[in-house]
Amino acid sequence: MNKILTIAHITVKEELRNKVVYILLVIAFLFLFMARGCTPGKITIQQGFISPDQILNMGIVITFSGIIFWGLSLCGLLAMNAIPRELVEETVVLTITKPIKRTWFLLGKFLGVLFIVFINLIVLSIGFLLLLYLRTGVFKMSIFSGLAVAFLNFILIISLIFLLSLLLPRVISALLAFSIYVISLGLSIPFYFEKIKVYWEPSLSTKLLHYLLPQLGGLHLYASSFLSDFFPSHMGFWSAIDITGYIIVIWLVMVFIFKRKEI
Amino acid sequence: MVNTAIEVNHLTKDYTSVRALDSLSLEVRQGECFGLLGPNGAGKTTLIKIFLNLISPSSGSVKIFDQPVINEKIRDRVGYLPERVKIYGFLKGSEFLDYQGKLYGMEHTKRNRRVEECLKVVGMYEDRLRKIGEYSKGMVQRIGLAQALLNEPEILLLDEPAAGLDPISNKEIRDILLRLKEAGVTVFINSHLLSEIEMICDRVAILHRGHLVKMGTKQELTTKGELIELKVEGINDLLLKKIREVSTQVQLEQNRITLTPKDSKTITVIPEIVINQGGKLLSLTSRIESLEDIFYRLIKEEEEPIE
Repeated sequence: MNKILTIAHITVKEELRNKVVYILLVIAFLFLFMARGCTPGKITIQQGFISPDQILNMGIVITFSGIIFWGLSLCGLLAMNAIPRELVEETVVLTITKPIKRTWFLLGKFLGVLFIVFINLIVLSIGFLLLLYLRTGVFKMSIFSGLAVAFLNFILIISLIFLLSLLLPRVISALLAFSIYVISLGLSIPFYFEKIKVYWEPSLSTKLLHYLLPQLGGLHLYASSFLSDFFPSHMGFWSAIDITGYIIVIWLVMVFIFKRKEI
Repeated sequence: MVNTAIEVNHLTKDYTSVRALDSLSLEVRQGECFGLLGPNGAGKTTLIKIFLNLISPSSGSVKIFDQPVINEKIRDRVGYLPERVKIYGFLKGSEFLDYQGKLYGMEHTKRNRRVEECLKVVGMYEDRLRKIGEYSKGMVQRIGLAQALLNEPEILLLDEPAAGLDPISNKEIRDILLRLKEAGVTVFINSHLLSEIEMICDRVAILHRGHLVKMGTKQELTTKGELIELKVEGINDLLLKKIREVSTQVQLEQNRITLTPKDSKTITVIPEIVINQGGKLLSLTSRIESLEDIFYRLIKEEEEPIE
């Protein structure tokens, strides 16, 4: 375990030198600040179906989704480089010629990337909570529960990018993983919202695709349900099981490929 | 009884379009310094990479201390210096060695001690707090050697250790290797610097196009003994024909002829042959076949087999 953590530590050091990480963080904070914590502010819509509380809830959920997608961008940026850079620059050689298993190397890189994503999400969430509190006096701690659930999605996305980056160019790996997330989210909507089903009855191919792809969308919606009653909380458990299954399969395939990779 | 450090059995490695190693078998004994020679593309680096499980053989087997190389624990006893040392440039020299020590699973006190010792051995102690990205190529190579020595290896695998080093650094590294050899460390060197190999190695293997041409001590490889080298102006076919009659082998390079004499009288008749055939003898020397001569001769024999 110590050797895995040693590799993770070096990965963190290496990735923290990436200026794009900080640029992304600054942009995320700017958006948060401009959205003023996504509070209703001076909006006084009281007519129609939307009450200020609902607007506040929507704001919170939109910001939560923003944080998730920002986290995904960070995952893509870090994960797509983590292994290919080691292989291209050949820095991997003096690591894996030590008494370590190749799986440990993958785990170390993975934990390093995951740690940076985790810390950034925490920083961003605390920033959001503070802004929200200053604007409305509301302290929405449930954002951390939502993030904890959504973290399983991050684990899957990083694993998927790791695997794809062993086979494909790094940018394509990240874009492909990101696309799978977005498609999965889009396809989940009619399966989770009964009211939408009235207007959008999924076709057989949509159903097939929905069940074939990892339930990233389902878990995303479940994570959002911690912040707003608008989102369904049923199926959350099964989505988590599905994602866990995918993570295990991806890791088995990744280890199989990386063990046979000629360096 | 001499124990075997590395045992290679019928090792073959095929790439898509080329056979890098062709049923190679060799044995490196514990405590010896073994040199692997070969022209570019002979398969030397491929062999070392198989030793380290960086690539897998197509067939055959390799054992280090009687363990298959796929077992990562064996690398606890191995030190490796690659031809091109690639290190994270953002780390300081000492940080990198500390990282490498952790990968060996060394505990803190021992790691600190070894990092300091190795930095001193390779002459990098003064520069330990500088970032590797600021190092010269030679300094990176020295840090590379330091990491290879960190775990006090029983086998040291060196792939072109002199690459990028100036003559002084080269001599210093040679001295380090000689000290390690005296201490009983098995040293396996890939190099194209034949003089280096000749000075350090007990035994040598010559590899060509993936197969073993010859293996043994320098004495075992030398079948010729004495060589005669002459510089002649006006070399012509008849002159060469006459020289071939008194030699077992002749090599021509511009105005220099290197020959293996048929007998002890050869050296006395050569001036007469040159003058009689209209040539002008500029110099004539006799010497013992060097490793370079052996290497050159064997590779030439491989490429143009003598009938």
